[in-house]
Amino acid sequence: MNDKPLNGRRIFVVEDESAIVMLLEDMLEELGCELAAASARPAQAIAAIPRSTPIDAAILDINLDGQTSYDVADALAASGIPFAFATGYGSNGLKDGYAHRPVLQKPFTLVELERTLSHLIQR
Amino acid sequence: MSESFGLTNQHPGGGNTTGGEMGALVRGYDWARTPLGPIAAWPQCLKTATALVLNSAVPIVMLWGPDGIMIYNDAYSVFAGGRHPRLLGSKVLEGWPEVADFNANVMKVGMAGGTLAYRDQELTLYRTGAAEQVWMNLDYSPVLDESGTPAGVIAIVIETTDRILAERRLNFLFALGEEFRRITDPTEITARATEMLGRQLRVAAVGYAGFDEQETIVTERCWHGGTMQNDAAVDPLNRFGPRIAAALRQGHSLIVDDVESDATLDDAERAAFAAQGVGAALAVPLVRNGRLTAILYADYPTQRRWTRDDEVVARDVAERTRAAVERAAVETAIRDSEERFRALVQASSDVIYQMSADWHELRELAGRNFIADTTHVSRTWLQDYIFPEDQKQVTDAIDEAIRGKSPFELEHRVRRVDGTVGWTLSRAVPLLDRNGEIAQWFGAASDVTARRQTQEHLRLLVDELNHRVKNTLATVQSIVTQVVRGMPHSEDVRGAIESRLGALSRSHDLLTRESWETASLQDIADQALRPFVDGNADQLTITGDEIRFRPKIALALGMAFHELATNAAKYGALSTSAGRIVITWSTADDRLRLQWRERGGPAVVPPEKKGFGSRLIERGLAYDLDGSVRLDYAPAGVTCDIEMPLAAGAPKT
Repeated sequence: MNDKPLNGRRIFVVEDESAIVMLLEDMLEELGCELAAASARPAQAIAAIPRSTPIDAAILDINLDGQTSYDVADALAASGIPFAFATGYGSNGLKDGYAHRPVLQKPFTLVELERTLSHLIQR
Repeated sequence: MSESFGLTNQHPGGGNTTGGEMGALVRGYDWARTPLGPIAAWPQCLKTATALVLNSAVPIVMLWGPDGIMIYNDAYSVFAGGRHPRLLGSKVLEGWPEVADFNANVMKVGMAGGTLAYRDQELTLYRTGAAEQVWMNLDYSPVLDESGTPAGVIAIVIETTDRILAERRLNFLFALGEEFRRITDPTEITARATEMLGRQLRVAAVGYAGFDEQETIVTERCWHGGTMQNDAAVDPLNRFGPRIAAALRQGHSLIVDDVESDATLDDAERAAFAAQGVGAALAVPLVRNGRLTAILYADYPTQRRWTRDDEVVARDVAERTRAAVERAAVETAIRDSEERFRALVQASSDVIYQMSADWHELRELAGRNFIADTTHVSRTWLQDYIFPEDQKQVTDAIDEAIRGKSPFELEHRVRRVDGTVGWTLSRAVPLLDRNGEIAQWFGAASDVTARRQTQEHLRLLVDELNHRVKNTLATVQSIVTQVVRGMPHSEDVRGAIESRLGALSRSHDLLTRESWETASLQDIADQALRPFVDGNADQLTITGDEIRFRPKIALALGMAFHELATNAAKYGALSTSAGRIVITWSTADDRLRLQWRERGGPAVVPPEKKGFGSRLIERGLAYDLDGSVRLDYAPAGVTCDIEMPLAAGAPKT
């Protein structure tokens, strides 16, 4: 399965639930990707971006224990790193200005994650 | 000696017509029976005076000698009416007994050499038998004999009754108009009108009745010689019988001068008049668009000659009364409506406002401490009340309402009294003028801030709940993945779990969109199956009536569709691009019958052992739906028939 285009890609994860981070870690591994870093808090995540380079794409949980990850999204956008939101809010749960970003609906399948990451990295 | 006073043969071709008809009568009269003696013996002054009288076009009567023997001309004969020609040669006091005193004075003054002049002298005469008010300009001068002694009196009599009546009618109508302007109560209007007409016509009673579409009397007042009554006993339409009622309905006036001698009345009608003490009657109906709208009537206890003028005045009064009553009724209705509106405004907790036709001007706004009051016309209301980012939304809704002359309705944000953001549900209706154009807008706006805040709070709660549920599902997914890791078929297990968690999650999303109230069957099926036919929507046909289910049933059906689709994707119609799935349903007798039909897929082989999907569909679904589910692995394609009572899933109303 290592002949996939995602092979060796470094993915940045912002997620406050450890179980879900573990799930993502397993899935990424299965897709041949590498977990660049995982952060549970926005400030920590923003600080982690330069340290974790290179980053090919990022998956952001919107709701981080009461805080949102929009600031992280802005920082990623500023660095030119493609990202998708992972959310349980549904597609209309995105704030104005972010509605055009790709969304991964939780819970997501391996296939859906692969499709989303491929979409991000192709761009 | 007829030519002796120069009345004949003096004008060539004049013949016997000289002096008119009266000339002939005078010449043929047997004067010998009178104190004047035969014409031949008349003094020259009498002959001369007689010729003067007969040849005048002005009504003149000469009263000759101490008895005032009357000699008059054609013009006077018209004035004399029924008394002519008996008056000729008679004594004035006997000829006009009803004004004997007046004439006695005339004779006394005239024969003493004096003159008298009266302008518009009112007299009551009985020229036709009935009493008549007449007005005259009267000029009396003595006629002197050869010795210079008054021998008679010449009276120039010009009747001014028509002019006087016309003037009085005008004055009367003017006074009536003034009264109508002053009075605003419909009942008082009819009371005044009947009283004034009664006094004007000098009758015993005048009544007015207005009728509605059902010919029911809606306004009725009757004046009885000084007393006003609301006389329910008098039915102005039917009081004299059906024949007269029918004529009135057709707009014909009833004019009876003398009940006893009126040949148009039958015995029953005469009896009806008599029973009501009516000797002469006048009634004018008002008919509009073929419908009787009012009757004005006047009664007189004995005979009376109604004049053309009486009828004209009565009709005029009737029409003015009806118009005034209608106007007053409208004004009363408007006043009542305004009072009700004021009361409503006072009682309402809503913001009340008035806008100009184009909404450029806010004329008045009572803000109820919710938003600021506007007491003077404001052209800056949009800036004052509406936040800049919301102004377009508001003006768009206004433009649409103006275009359609339809009510404006919008829930929008407003700047509250304290400057903070509030929400209002604002409604305004256009008031149209006579031409159907918008005159202004009346609006009411309620403070829905609390509701909006509650809604917003609820939305946040639902979002948070969703987030938790989804994270929990993802966590379950994670745990399963960790647990099965390294076990045989771990990938199949994980895939199977992921797929079902996904289906559960999507059903959840659908219900969240509908605020967890109901979901339509179409959406439930579509949501569950769409992921399986991604890119080839033709494979799926879903048709059926619009029907909605409560969350529990919606979730159960969603999971069942998912299992059927999973099976179809693995072994059935969705495993080849030629395969098709058709889902149809119908409702009858409060039951839903749904059919799942697969075709075009590979030949179906029944599974050796029923798996999770079969169990969930056949047992779990039937259990949840309180219905029956039949799953058939037919070789041509899987079929599934679901039947359930609608009451089980229909939303509670």
